[in-house]
Formats: sequence, C-alpha cells, structure tokens
Amino acid sequence: MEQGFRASMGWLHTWAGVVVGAMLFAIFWMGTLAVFDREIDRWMAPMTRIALPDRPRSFDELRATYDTAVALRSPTWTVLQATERQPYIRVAYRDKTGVVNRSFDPATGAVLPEPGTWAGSRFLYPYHYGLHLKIWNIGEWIVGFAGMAMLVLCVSGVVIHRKIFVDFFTLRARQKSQRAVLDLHTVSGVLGLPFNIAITLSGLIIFFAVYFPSGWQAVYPDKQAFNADGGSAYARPKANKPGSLGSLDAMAGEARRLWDGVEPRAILVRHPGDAAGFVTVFQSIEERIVRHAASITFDAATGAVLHRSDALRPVAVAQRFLTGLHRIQFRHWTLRFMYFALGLLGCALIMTGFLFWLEKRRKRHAAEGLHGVRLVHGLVVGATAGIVMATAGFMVINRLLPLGVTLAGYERHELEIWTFHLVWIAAFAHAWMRPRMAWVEQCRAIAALALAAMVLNGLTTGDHPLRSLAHAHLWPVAGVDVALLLLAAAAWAASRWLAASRRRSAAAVAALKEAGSHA
Amino acid sequence: MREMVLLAMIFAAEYLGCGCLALGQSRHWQAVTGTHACPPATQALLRIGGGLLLAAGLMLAVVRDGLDYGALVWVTSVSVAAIAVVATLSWPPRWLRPMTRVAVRKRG
Amino acid sequence: MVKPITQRDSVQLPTTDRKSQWWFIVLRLVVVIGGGYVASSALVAGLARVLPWLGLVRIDGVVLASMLGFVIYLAVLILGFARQRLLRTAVDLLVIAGLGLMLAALTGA
Repeated sequence: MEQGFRASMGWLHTWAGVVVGAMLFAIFWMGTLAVFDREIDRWMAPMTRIALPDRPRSFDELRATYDTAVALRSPTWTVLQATERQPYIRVAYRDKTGVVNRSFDPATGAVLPEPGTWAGSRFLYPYHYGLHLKIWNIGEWIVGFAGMAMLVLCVSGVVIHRKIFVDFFTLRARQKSQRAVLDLHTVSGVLGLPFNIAITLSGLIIFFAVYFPSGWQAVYPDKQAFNADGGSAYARPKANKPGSLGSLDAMAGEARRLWDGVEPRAILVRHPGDAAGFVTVFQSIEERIVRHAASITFDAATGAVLHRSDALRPVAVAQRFLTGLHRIQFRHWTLRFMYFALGLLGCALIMTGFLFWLEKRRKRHAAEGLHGVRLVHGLVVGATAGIVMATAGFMVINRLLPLGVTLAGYERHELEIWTFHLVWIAAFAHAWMRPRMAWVEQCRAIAALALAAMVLNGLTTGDHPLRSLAHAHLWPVAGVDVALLLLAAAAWAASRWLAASRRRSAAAVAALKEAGSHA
Repeated sequence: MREMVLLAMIFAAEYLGCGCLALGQSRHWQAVTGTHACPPATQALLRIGGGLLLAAGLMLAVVRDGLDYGALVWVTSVSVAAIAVVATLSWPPRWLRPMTRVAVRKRG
Repeated sequence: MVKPITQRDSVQLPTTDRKSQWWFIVLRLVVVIGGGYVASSALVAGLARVLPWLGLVRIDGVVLASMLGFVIYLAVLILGFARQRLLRTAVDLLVIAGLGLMLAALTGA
C-alpha cells in the first residue's frame, strides 16, 4: 500500500506542479512584492514621499470632500489618517464609475496631485489574490484553485520524500545540474514548508465566505444577514431625508476618551448627507496580529454614541489571526523582511520544480520527438523570468510617463498596466521563438530594466540612493532602489553563468562530433 | 538598538543551532571535517546542542517580541538561518570547521 | 485475507490499460476535483448547521465549518488521487455529501 500511495503522490506532485506551477509562481511573486506594497507605492508615486508629522490632522478640515461625496450621492465617505507606511491622508468615496481616492499632505493639508499609478497596493497586491480578472470573481477562484493545489503539492511532496530529515541541509551545488536543481527544490521545499503551508492555508481562509458559500448559505437567508452577524457592525437604513453632520473631531475625541487615549485612525460615514447617516470611528489595525479594529459608532448629526464594537469571540479571533498573519498589515519590520525572504524562497521552490521536470525529460522527449518539453520550457521561462521582466518594465514605464498623460483614451495608470501585460506576453513569445537563448536573453533584459528603473528614479525625482539613504522618510525609496540593484546584479550574474554553461555544452557537442567524424 | 542586538543574537543562535544539527548528520560531518563518520557521542552532543540553541533562539525571540510576534519571528527566522547553513555547506563547508572542533573538545 | 486486495490497490500507476487513457484521467480529475468540492461543500453546510446545535454561536459555527472545509477538501483530494479504484472514490464522495446533507436536514431550519 505504502509503495502505491507514494507512486500516486509522485504522479500527483509532478502533474499538479506542471499544470498550476505557472499560476503559483505569479501568485507567489506578486505576494512577495505585496509585502512591501506601500513602499513600492512611494517609489512609484513620488508626490507621496512625505515625512510623517508628529500629530494627526483634524478630520473636520476635510469637510470639502465630504460635501462632494454628498453631492455625488456616495453611499460612504472614508478618511484614513496618515501612518508610517502610508504617510498621507486618504479620503475615499464613490462616484458613478467607482471609488474616488484623494490624498492630502498630513503636514500642510494640501491636496496631493493624482498619482496616475496603481503601483503596489492597487495593482501588484490585488493581482496576488484576484489576477485583475473581476468578471464573476474568476480571478479569485483561479487563485483559490491554485492555493488548494499548493496544499496538495506540499502534502504529496512530503510523502514522496523518503528521507526528509537526512536531506534537511543537503545541496550538492557542484554535482551535475539535474542533481543540484533537485536538491535546491527539496531544500527550499523542506525549509519553507511551515511558511508555505501557513501562508497558503491562511490565504484561503481569508476568503472562506467566497470559496465555501455553502456554510453561510445553510444558516443565513442572505449575504447581508451573514455579514451583519459576522461584522457586529452597526447598520440602519437610509431615512431619505437630508441631514447634517456634526463635528468629526468631537466624535474622534469622544472615541479617544472612551478608549482611554487610544488614537482613532479612520472614520467611515455611512449615508452621507442623509438624516439617518452615522459615523464609525476605528482604531488602527497595525497594533496586533489579529486583524480587528475596535470601533465606536455615532449619530452623524448629534454625535450621540449609537454602538460600540464587541470583543471578538474565539472562533472569530482564530479567523482574524490567520487573516492578519497572512496580510501582514501590523507594524513589524523584522517579520516583513522575513516574509519577503521566504516568499522569494517559495518562488525558487516553484522554479526549481519546473526546471527539474524539464531536465529529467529533455533527452527522452528529444529522442522520441515529443513536443512537451519545448512547450513547457516556453511556459516556464515566460511564467518565471517573464513576470519578473514585466514587473521591471512596469516600474521603468512608471518613471518615463509624464503625469496626466493619456494615450488612445487610456489613462496613465492603465498605460502602465498595459505595459506590464505586453512585456509579459512578449516574454512568452520570445521564449517559444528562441528557446535556446530564452533564459540568457531574458535574464539580461531583467538586469537592464531593473538598472534602468533605479537610474530613472534618481534622474526623474532626484531621490537617488545616496540622498534617500540619508533621509529616514525616504528609506522605503532607498529600499526599492537597492532591491532593484540586487535584482539587476543577480539577473546579470545568472545570464553570465547560463551563457558560459551553454558555451561549454556546445563545445562538448562539437568535440563529440569531431571525434565521431575522425573515427 | 536593543532590538537589533537581540535580532543578531536570535540569528546567531539559530545559525549555530542549525549548523550543529547539520554536523550531527554523517554526510555533512564528512564534508566539513574530511574525516570519517562522526563518533556517536559527538553526534548526540551536536544534536542536543543544536536543539538547545534553537530553543534559546525561541526564548530570545519571545523576549524581544512577546509571545505572539516572537513565535512568528522564530518560525520564519529559523528557515532563513537554515538556508544560510545550507549555503555555507554547499559553498565553503570548511567554514563550519571551528564548530566541529568545539564539539570534539567539549566531549574530550 | 486482506492482503490480495491491498496488493491490487498498490499497483504502480498503470501505463497500458484504460487507466492511462486520456478520458479516464479527465474523468478522474472531474470526479476528484469537482465531486470532491461538491462533497466538501455539502459537509461544510452540514457542519455549519450542526455546530450551533452543539452549543456554538451561529456565526462561529459557520466560520469554523468553512475553515474546516479547506482541510476536508485537502484530505478528499489527497485520498481521491491516492485511490486506484475511481468507483470507490465516487462512492465515498457520495457518502460524504450524503452525510453533510443529512446533518443539514436533521438540524434544519
């Protein structure tokens, strides 16, 4: 039985890996970048490179945008105070086309110009869980499927690996490449296993209501009833009569007093301009792992307390703990860097798994005239090197396009996203058309683009690393620049190594032919 | 400052701990020392020492970050430290030679 | 007595008979992935109804049942692909789904 179980798990591991690996790499790569999404935001939107002032700014000063939201009949109006990782005030409301985001300088209260980019928190991060495919939530379902496949891969990988503890630290880098690639795959899989399982399972659990709707459908009549019960949020219907809004600062002050001095971080007004409008004041979610912000709700006109959020029950704590663990919005720089490193390790795991599949089959497929290897080779290059190249291209175009530019009806942020996708498609096309040179040339392209992005940032904003390292509020920019430089160096080194090993094998083949012709 | 010192100590404990556990395996002992399999008593010492060092890492992480964050810091940083050990073993394994000397002397 | 059966179960993935034919692989994928999801969903629904009946708050029951759903589905996928006999897998899935529906009906609203 054990033998058969291991064999079927081997089959499962191989084919699940080949089929979902490309998707998993995209999800892991975007998730790794999303760990630093707000830092990437600051790199891509130079107008938000602001030093955080000591004191939060008055909520009432933002009344003008509230009046706009009322005029637009927006169902909500939200204010987020500036934080360390997002050092500007954000106001959000809805117009007919969607969410309107506006940013303000927390020191002066001045309006910041439209950033013209979706950058990290609106492009890279949503890509990680939704692939920007919004029709019928199809992106979320694809990611969920890939997540389940990742769990299956983890379990089957452990099963097929007989000597898991013996191979804990083994990497025979000097052996022939197939052995070294398998060792790399095993080591990154074994050492990354706790992180990979925790991050995949918690990622799925964030969306439990999407992936297992049968749970709430069995108990609640509709989604609203479930949300109302789950959120312990206050709600009341619109009165459809005009109403006024009292002092937001007074409500924030009252919340601070009721919380014994904890600073309010966000305000959400429901039904702006309506007589039944209400104001919810939230604490920060950055203080603990459990993702939960205590809140107090006030009547919009009178400022009377309507509701205080309850303490979470144990099961909710477990779910919010896993959500917080995955989304890492809490303040902890050590963990942020650890997540980033282990995310990259996950990318290496997926890539080496692919490479081993290819190495193992290359000779046999060539001999049997099968096209599988060629097809998967293109897929692997495009899915791994290609998405890195597309990301670098995304950052280069961000520094080249002037603010407010439009082309053929597309706005600046859409042009950036188009660039990302076109570079990625080009990477796949290149990998299928020039399979022999695909790795070398794409590594060179990554090195060139990453270096160009770093240099362009210095040229267009003046915040070159020497300057950004000297100012604490520019460290995120310096960090992204250093990461780009490291990426360029790594990609360059990889391209040199690949080119050299290609030359060596070509020389060996030529020598063999020579020997054959003499014989 | 205290945070940075503690973090360096956490990584040091975990790197040494993973190093000891690796040396406790015959394959790596041979690669590092060039001699034959490690004597069983030394092997046991290395394994226990490695376990204790990893436990010390956990304790330091809890001191630095509290129970919840500390546990997370430990789980993630052990993986990173283990990768560093793998890199050492695959590139210049002799860098771990001082550790074997300590282990042998402790026993003797 | 049991041994012959386990031996037949433990045959390496066959390469010649119908089990390696593409339509059978597709059928297996549909039954294990699709059927497995439906069966897990049914069990989640059943658990979501049963847990409050056992004393949990309603919302807690739903959240716990849904979180367990991922573990149930993972186990179903692993066992479904490990099993050589697809028919037995299908029967097991029907049993799981039936159990879920029964629990839901017993404690029904």
